[in-house]
Amino acid sequence: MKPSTTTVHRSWSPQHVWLIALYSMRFALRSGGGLMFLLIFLTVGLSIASLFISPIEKLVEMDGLDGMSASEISVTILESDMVVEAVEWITSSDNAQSEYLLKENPALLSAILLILLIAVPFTTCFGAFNQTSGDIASRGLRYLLLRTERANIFLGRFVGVLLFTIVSVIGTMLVIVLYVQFKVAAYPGLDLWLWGLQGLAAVFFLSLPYIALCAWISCMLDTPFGSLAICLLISGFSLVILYVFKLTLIASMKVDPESLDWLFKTVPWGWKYGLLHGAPAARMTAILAMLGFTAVFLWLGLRHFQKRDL
Amino acid sequence: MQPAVKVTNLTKKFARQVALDGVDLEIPQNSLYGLLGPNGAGKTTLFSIAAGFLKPTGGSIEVLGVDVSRTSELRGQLAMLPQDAAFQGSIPVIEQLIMFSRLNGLEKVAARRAAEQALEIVGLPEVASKAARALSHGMMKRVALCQAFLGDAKVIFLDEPTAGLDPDNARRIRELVKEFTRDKTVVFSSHNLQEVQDICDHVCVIDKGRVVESGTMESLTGSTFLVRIELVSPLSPEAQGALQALPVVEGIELTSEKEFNLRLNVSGSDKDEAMKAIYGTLAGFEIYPRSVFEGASLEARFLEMTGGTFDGASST
Repeated sequence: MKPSTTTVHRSWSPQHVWLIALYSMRFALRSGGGLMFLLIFLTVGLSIASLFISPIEKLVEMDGLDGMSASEISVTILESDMVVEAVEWITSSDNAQSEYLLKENPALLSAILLILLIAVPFTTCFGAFNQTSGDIASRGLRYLLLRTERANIFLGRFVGVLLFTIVSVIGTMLVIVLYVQFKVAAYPGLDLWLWGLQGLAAVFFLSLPYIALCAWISCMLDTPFGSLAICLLISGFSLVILYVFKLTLIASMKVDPESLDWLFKTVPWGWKYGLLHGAPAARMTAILAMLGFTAVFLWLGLRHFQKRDL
Repeated sequence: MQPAVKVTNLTKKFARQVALDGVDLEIPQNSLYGLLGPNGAGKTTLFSIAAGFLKPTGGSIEVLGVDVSRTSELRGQLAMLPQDAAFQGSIPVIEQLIMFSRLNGLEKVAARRAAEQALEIVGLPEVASKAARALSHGMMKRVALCQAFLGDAKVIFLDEPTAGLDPDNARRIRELVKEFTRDKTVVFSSHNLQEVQDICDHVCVIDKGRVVESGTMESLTGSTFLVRIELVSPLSPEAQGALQALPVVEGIELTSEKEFNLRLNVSGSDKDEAMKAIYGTLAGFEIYPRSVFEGASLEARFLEMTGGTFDGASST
């Protein structure tokens, strides 16, 4: 029963990362923190879905659902002010993109996804803020430090939250798509599921850099509450700062507002709609940007975690 | 023989405060090594650097010839009972121990078996499925000790394992340490000087981040040459004279009416004969010892070395 020992020094081990990820996921579920996150994600997702689905349901009821075909219902949806206005407001400068979201794909799901993407950074913070801060505060991390490298703990916790986020996103998307499919019955099943799958990927890619950002902040602070507050503040406050900065530039330099759109590309949030773009190149660029932000935040976090006292 | 732990010019600063100031130390293999010092002396800091929790400001620590920063090379060979480190409150104890065992390199089934065995060693098999927060302080301490017994570590650091425990739990832990750490190097810090004197064979005194003295317990307390005897009745002047006349007795010092120290004039192997002569002389005066201690009290030596009061001397 002697443990296997290695004679070659390695700074990290994929096996340990995976082990820590699985246990942190399991422990998060058992401790209630994970369930709370799942609940928050579901509540946010379903609230956004209900925001769009309820008026459509009423509209369909008024028009008499029984006698309408699927294509007629989808036309009704397209005529719904709320869906069209939401999509056109978000894609104001891009008619082709509006067309792609409203006519080439299930419009109702497009509207839900676009609003969901706005909320993803904030909801992600609730699941990712306590990757290490709680265990640093309670010194529980010390039992792991005796047995594995710091890099394994940091990356393992990150992967654990990532897995949990995937489960939460899948759960939320599954409920939304099923609800749209059976309650509204406006789109062919295959179209709906394929678009749902792309939406799932978009939510997943957008949550990646925010989980990494939380990993970095969480390892800097010894208090979970402080970590949550800072994660939310950075996720939200950075947007406020950028918006104020943009307004100041417009007012003082009289520049075209659209020429300052790049400002928001300095944070992951600014790339979110690219993840649902009709052009594959734009989609790929957005995915690469998400992966780039994730790598930078992870590297900064890992560097700090390796050096700090625990 | 290579030392189990080698500390070289170790320094640790927290902002402006110097916690360890150029500590040099060698801990021999298979020794039960006591680390003593007043509060804030730097004991826990030394342990924490050895276990990789804290990064040293300068210097290094090697365990079994490997720098402690290379955790994976020491995996399974170094264990520790950290002070005040909490288990996950809502997770069953056994699951946490299984995770530790798996990180030590065991497969799932073997890890469960090792966790169950470790819980049996500390006498707590019944708490396996209980959440950590449901356990009492004493039980939690034993569970924490049990994680240090997982695997087959060659070097074990125990940071104040009996602190805050009632006498019964403290005794259990001492017995466990003595029983399950044979053929291992154990570094043991405690505020209870009598406890350290009883179970450790080597000792190091740290004060204000510096090593004040280190060596074998015998050399520190002079146990070969000094005997403290407490009596059931006062020592009469006649008996004192008779003891003084024994050739093995170099000097006698009364510390109270019923207690005295004898300085012996013997080598280690002749000590049993010397003790027979002393007991015989006392019996001749119908004076019987209540207790006999070999060597000076570690507490007295400790106070002498650190030149102050020891605030933990009264603990269990």
